[in-house]
Amino acid sequence: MANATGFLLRNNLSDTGTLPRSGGWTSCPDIIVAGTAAIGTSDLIASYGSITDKPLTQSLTNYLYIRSKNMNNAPLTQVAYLFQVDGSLVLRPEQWYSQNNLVGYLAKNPNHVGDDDTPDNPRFITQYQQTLSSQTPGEIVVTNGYTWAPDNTDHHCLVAVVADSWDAVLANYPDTGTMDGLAQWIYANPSLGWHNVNIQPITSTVYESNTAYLHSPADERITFTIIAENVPVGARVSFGAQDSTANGQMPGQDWTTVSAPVGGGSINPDFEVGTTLLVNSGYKTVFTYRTDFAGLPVPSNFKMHMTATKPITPTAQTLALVGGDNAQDSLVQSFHRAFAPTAMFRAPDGQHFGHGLDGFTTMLAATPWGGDGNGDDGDLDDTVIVVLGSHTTTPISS
Amino acid sequence: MTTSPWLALRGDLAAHAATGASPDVILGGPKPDPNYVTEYGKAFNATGDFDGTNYVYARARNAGKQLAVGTVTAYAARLSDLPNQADWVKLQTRADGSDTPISAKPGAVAVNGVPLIWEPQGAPAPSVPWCLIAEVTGDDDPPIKVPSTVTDKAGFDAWIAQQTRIAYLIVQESHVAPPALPSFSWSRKIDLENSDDTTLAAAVTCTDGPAGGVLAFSFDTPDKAGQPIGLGTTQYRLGTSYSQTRTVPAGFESTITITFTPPSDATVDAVFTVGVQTISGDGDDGDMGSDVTTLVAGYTLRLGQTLAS
Repeated sequence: MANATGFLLRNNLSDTGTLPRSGGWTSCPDIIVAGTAAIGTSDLIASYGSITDKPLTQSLTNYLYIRSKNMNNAPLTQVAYLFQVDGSLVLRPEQWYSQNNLVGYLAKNPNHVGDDDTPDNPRFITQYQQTLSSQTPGEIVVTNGYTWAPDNTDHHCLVAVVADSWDAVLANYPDTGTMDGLAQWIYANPSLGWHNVNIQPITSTVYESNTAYLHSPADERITFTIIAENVPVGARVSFGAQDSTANGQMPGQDWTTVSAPVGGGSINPDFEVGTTLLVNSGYKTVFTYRTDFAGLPVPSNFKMHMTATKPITPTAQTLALVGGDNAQDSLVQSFHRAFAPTAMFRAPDGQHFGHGLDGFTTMLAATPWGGDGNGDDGDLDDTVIVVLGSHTTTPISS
Repeated sequence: MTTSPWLALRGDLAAHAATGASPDVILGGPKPDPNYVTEYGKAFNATGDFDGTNYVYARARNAGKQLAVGTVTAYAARLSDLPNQADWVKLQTRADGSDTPISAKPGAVAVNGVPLIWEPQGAPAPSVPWCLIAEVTGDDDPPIKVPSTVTDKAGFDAWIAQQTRIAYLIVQESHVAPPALPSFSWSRKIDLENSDDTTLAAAVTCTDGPAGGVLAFSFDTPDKAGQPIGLGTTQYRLGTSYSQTRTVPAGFESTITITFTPPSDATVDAVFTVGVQTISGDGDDGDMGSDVTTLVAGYTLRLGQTLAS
């Protein structure tokens, strides 16, 4: 039997590229349906042995990826396209096998002028073609994210095609009006994949926005943060990027519930969550960030935005300033513990110090901490490691 | 459509009201408990695990005189969405089916053998709790449509009280009193010695620690607008940076306190990185640039305890 050449999109997890293909063909594991949480390239490659099939959410930006294995005996570079097909139109390829049904991704508009974002001067444009490039036979490669915000919850299918060009894609037209014919089309073309998807309705008010990011010409650790101002406690925030960094990491934060502010209240004036990772020189992407109000009313003064921050080495002046504070401090003064009322304290030799705070205080008096010899010498880059309680803390029930 | 008695779901144990307390919508384990059937007069678990997987069962009694074979379908919806059937989210089985069969002899009680899966991914706000709606359909008993005249919860309750094949449950939060837990905190004085207003950013990240732990931090001096600076008690996620970015007045001096509460009073610890910075912007061209920050305090802390065995 022959083997597939070119980039293989598997029908199912049992598909090793042996032709003719057979078996289930409507859940291609190499069309990765990630839902609203972006996934990094390294994780997508590492999960080659499994199917990622999360539900998509209506009206929100959902992330999709095409993964492929180079079955060639040489380096290979081709382009990948992804079609979305309404379930009712599956048997009418003349209605979906066209550019109108391609799933795209956002890119910063190079011709954008000023700060406006209007139909005539859009901040972002949609692109459709992604490149798959493999330098090694047998290598698994993956596209960056396609993004799709379905406008209804009708059953849909995703069809991925990898070829030399868009013309080559069009030349491989699925000239059939039957499900069996479509199956044969997929079976006969190892660079095709089909994946049925579920779309769940959006059940509350969600604000979603995009921002472009271009990193400076240096590899640096960057913290990406979403900041939601005047956001209801119980709402959720998240963000994700379309593109992985050079080491395959994806800046993103899955849904995080807004907690109550310091002092309590139903509105948090400033809720911020983020993630820190190494960002390569020239990295560019488009972030999507959002707040789900989870059925709660939207405050009129609600705002959200994203930031990217990078720490720099503190100056000598700063070191001196904070060093002065540290010099007046000590670890015993800095650390505190609240006790379970049932906690009992005793020494390793069995000496009993008592319960709760009294017991702890007695134990401290009897057990020297050993000073601040854990490197707290006033420098800013201290690593302070202290374990409070130690082996002398024992619950009364033991 | 049949009008004869068939598989019936109750609105409550007394079977005469429907205010979101159906004993026949059950949150159980991966497999049905035989007691669901044998103890028809008992309400089983109605408490949801909002951060995990919930297994949903519908319990129906065959009020007819023939074997009844039907299908259970279940939905999740927020309380405010009950009248809006289009906003209900249909639950699926682990095998991606959207419904699961149920059958009962005349007079007998049955539950669906294959549970429907509900993973709400977070606790709801108190004012909009999650509801689970279960429906039984059959060849002569099609899916039930909520009338367009139903526009609020009161109307929904009045309508569903007249239905025998559909019932709903307001999912309860766990009210089990948690055991008293220790907490561990650390404080440090920060003095910016800034001559003008400046932007202060403080971030705390748990880089290693137990799931379910809680983090909080606060400054004892408010920002320039008089707002407290800090993070209220928050169940942390590893690697996530929790931060505050505020404008503070000249001469800002404050003590930051970070508190870790472990998920249990056991041998446990967690590592936190703490950074206090001042920020100067990158200029605003509409895109997101990398702000330049100046680190004024940076620590790695391990907080926790070791209990004797």
